[in-house]
Amino acid sequence: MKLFPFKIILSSMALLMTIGCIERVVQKNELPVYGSKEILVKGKDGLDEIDTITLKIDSFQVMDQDSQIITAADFKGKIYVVDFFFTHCPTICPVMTKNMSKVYDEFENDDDILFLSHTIDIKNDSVPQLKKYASKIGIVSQKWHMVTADKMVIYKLAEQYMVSAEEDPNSPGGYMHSGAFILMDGQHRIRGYYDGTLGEDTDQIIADIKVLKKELSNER
Amino acid sequence: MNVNIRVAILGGFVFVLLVTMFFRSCSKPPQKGAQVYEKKCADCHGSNGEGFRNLIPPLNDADFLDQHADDFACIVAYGIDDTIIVNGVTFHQPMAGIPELNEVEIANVANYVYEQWSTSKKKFSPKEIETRIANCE
Repeated sequence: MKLFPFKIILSSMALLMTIGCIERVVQKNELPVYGSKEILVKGKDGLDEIDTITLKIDSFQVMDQDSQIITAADFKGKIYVVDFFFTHCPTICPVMTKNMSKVYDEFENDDDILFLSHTIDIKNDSVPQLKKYASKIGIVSQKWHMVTADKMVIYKLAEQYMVSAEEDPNSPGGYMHSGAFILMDGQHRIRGYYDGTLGEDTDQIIADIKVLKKELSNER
Repeated sequence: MNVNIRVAILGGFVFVLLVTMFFRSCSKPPQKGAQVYEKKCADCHGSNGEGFRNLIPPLNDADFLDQHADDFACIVAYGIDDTIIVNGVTFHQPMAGIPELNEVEIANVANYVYEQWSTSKKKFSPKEIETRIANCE
């Protein structure tokens, strides 16, 4: 008799331990497509129809740390992670690079996964400077492109990816920018945003890349 | 003995055990310096002070710690943008200062770092930190 409350307390305790202390990565079956919008078009029979336009970032030309010209075509049919940074950034970038490296290491031998980091400090981050930075973390340009281009090209790209990037004399290092990792699919569509400064988000993007891998193999 | 009482005592033991496990599994390091380190330093320098490849210098077993013990407070407060050599490896990655830390917090984190990872195990007082910070270059 009167043992019932014990059971409840015990099981709720066990539940609390499970949900409270284990770092959670959400397992998803499907990832959203960002930046779609619906528009009205005239159909064949002259009636209004709803059509969906999906945002695709499929037209750009930049140069990476090995002086290779990199275009959107290099990422067609690949899964890739995009971010914006600069090499002498004293605050969030080293953490972002560290977290991105974790994702890179996880998929090091998987040719379907690529990385694309844009510098937002065109003045200081020349090709040799990017090369130097890449060699400090020991990555290869075939897999992780650290790229530069004309200032307008880079800032326009940031706008397309819907992340912030701007010169700001009041920010540490002189630039203000988003610490986001953007997950892209083989059709140049945005499939996820993650905080590149957080370990949990790094684990999440690794899990989500595996979801896109399945999608990719289904498409083939 | 009544079976119910025996079960109740057993249940009580299990309950206490679970409560202990619950708090232990979630508890943070109790040290103040460790708390500051985890919050302000560990993202870059790593929870074990291991640094990150040739980009972010290590603190763990770093010769730099004892060579530059006098600079520790200023580097934490105002950051650093110099080329430095740590255990024979050259680093030049700017670090931002952490102006929101006061002299007591800096002393705590300095003592934590030096106790764990330096040879000298040097101790810092808030007074010393304050003096150093007033005279940063």
